[in-house]
Amino acid sequence: MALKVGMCTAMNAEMFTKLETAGIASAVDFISRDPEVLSRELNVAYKDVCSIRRVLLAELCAHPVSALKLYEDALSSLTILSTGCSVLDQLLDGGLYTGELTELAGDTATGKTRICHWCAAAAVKNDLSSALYIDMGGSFDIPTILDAMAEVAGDQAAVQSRLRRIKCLQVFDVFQLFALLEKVMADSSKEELPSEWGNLKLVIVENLPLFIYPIMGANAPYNQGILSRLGLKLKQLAGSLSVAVLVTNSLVSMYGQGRTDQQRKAALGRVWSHVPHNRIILNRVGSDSAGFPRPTEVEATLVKSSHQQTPFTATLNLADRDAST
Amino acid sequence: MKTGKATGPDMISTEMMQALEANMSESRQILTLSGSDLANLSGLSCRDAELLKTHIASQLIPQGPLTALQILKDESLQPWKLSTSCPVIDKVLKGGFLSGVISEISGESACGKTQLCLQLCLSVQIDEKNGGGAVYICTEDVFPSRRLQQLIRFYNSKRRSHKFGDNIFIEHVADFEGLDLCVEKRLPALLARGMVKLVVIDSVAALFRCHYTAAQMMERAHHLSQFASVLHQLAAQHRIPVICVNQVSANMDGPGINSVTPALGLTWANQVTCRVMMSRVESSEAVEDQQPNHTIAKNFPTYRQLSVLFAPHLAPARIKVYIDDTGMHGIGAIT
Amino acid sequence: MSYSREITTFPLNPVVMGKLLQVGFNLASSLISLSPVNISLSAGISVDEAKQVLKIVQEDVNTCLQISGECVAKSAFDLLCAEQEQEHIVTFCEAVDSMLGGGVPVCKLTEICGAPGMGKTQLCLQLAVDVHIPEHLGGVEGEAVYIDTEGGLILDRLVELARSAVLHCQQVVEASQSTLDQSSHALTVDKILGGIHCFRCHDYYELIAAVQLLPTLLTQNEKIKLVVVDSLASPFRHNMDDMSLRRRLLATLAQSFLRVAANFKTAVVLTNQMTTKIMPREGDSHHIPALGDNWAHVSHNRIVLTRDCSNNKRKASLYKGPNKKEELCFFQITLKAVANSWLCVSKLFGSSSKLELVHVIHGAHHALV
Repeated sequence: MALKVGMCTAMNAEMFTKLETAGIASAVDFISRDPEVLSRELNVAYKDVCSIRRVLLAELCAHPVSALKLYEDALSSLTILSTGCSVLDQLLDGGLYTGELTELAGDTATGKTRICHWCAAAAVKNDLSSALYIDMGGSFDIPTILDAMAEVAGDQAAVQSRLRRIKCLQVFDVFQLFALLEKVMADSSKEELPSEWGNLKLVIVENLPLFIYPIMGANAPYNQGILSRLGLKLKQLAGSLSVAVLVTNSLVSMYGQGRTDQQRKAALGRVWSHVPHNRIILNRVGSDSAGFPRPTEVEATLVKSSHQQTPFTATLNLADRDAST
Repeated sequence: MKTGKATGPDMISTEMMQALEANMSESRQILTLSGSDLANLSGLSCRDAELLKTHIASQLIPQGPLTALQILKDESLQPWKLSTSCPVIDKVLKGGFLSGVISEISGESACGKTQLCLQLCLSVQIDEKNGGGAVYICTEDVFPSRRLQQLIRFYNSKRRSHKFGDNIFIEHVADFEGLDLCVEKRLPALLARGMVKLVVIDSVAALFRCHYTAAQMMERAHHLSQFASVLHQLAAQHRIPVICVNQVSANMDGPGINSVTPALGLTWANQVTCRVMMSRVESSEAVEDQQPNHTIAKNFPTYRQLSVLFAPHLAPARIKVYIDDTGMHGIGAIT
Repeated sequence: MSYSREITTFPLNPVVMGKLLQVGFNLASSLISLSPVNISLSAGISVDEAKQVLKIVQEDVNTCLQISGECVAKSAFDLLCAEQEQEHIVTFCEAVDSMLGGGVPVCKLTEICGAPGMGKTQLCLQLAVDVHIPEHLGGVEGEAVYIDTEGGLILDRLVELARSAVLHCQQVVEASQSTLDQSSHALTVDKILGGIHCFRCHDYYELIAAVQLLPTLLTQNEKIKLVVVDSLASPFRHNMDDMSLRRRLLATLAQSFLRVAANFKTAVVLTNQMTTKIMPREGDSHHIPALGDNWAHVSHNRIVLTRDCSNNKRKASLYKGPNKKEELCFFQITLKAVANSWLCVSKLFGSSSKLELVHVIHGAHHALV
């Protein structure tokens, strides 16, 4: 929130200019400064600083909200987006919840990208909603998305309208990703609607580790900082715009403690593991002999969830998403 | 290349380069730093750090890319080929063994691998343009000096007043310590003098096959690729052919009962650029293929077969060869 | 543009960022109204650094996104329209072409994996030649960058391939009795060889350097439509004990390749070796592409070349592809060259070998079909 002249009696034009020259433009800037130091530095009355501080705090601080109110809010803004796959919907207690971050983790060719396509296709079924597909590798694939929209395949106009509401973006590093998320948030919070992004309901970020690994250098605190900042940003996006966020992650082997490399966990480490609300691990069923076509059955295990009991395993078929096994 | 010399875009100051230099031994290591690490060390923003990397990269590859046409016209940019002194075999190999890469000759025992290697050691001395001496590292058997002397007698006629025997450096190694010492210390020193233009290792399989149990496969793979990387470096740096002799092992998946495959598995195969295999052929069948114009080939005991398994520039092919006191000779393609 | 963005989300220098955070500048808004001198005084950084910071923070999001080419949001519908114009570089091996939907796709990463001697390098050389095929014959009429890390770029072979490509193109032109004067566009061996830009890299430093130089090179030469790296695996399989370094370098390279592919509209073809994976549970082993699991996520198409045990033929399978139909297919590159076929891979191998290889030939060029 930006500071404005006349917010309160102490906030006059003179005070405002003084604050501005000191680089204090937002309420957060103001509150994060020590009032005594501020009054000394800017040569203003301590009393004034304190009174502005009180007003700002009163206006901005979080109020306790009753659970009932929360429930009502949730009912009014919550949407459950189908994943387009009955098995996954069941696994996720209905589908992707807006305001939540869901992670799909799996090895290569376990259907992460395909499931993302299903979700995107399902999200734009509703005439008003749109989806954003962010990815470094350009993995968005037209045949797959058309396939996922098979139920309206005959209706050219419907397909077109749905396709138009899926936006795809290739970004190549984590800072571009930040810039993009910022832009989406800023655009969508503007008054005039619809913004460039339409009525956004689903944001997909593909292959998150690829964004993170290149910055993983010797400077561990910095890297962890970026990673947790990214987590916060995505959650903030989910919360403030009331969209569902879906990210894909890879798996890494767990070393040490006499483990075999059969046991695998989602990549990106501890810091990240706290971020997603829901996490599904995908595994190919059957022996995985390289170079040969494998069965299309994938075992999806819900390992972290805010609705369901975990672990919860279901088997889905990548070739036929409606088949339940 | 030292970092101190780096000068380039404005934002790269001498002090900065000195600060970087203090942290690493070579400027090319800058390329492996992540953007934030480099920014940390240099004080640049992440984007300028990227420019710095590009600058270092252009220093590391100062000439930039060459077009294939340029390489074609300039022979010094292309690998040269080590002739086998036999026109038939050379034809199959399109001129001989490539320099700058590792080539492998594999086969069962007594099928002529060592013969071919000895022959290469001599023919490298005939090549006046690229040739020179040879290093022969024995790990399996004692170096067959008598056979070499026999061959030298024949080769003396090809290059008179040249002491063939004096330009072959023989090393016997019996264990890994010896091999590592030889390949990592003595060989580079010898090659640095520029007289040696061929390295033969007979054989790589012996040591690597017997010193590891099945449980130590990871360790073996690691050691093998390290060993190969030293050979690669030497081959590329001195532009010489490196010939490795390999044994064979039974091929479980292949067609036929007697099919064999070169030993040491995929780890080694990935390191080899050209792979040649030798084998013995039943003599009764071989006699029928005898051609009248090969007058020398009268008393050969057995036919051998030389097959090209893979090479980037060669088609898989097989020819029959025989060995007599003047060396190994090819007869013709087996269709 | 909103200035409430945290400064930690900007690509700032970590040291400078730390200093700024210490004195309470945690939002872009708190910096934007200040002069560089003010910032430098309060945060204890130099004026130059402060200028840098301001420059980065003030940069519009749009310019930040577009700084490296077109990062404009496209709707799936735009992509559908673009799909029709998707260019492919033909391999002239019918099976492989159809498996990839018409050849190696431009703007995408294609990975070719295989044990030694399976034809990875042959496929790469063939592609480097094929990228030159003129547009009127259905090619992309481009040039190629060839990054060779294994010494597999042998000129003899390249010349051979170029010759037969030229010959074939001539035949196609004659057969079509085209009235157009194509002589000015005629393909020559020299033109092909002159359009293949080669880097020879001996270790991963040189490979990274070459990749670092790609954007400059591709900006200067817009004709380049193909980047080949043969092989990506070998520099990373020697002397790489530090696995986290390897992981980071590979991710960085992947980032660069994807950026190059998207921004310059080039196809990127990488070769990878195979490695043995021992399954602890079953106790047996099988071959999988090297470079680890994280790399496996990067490429769009992954072709695995193997030899069929029963009949010694080579086959290619699309191990990973976005489209489900392809993923499930099992392909065999047909054997036995057609007589008088022009494609050298097969001509060369087929005529003299019992191994009965490889890549058969497209009898007629697909442009004429």
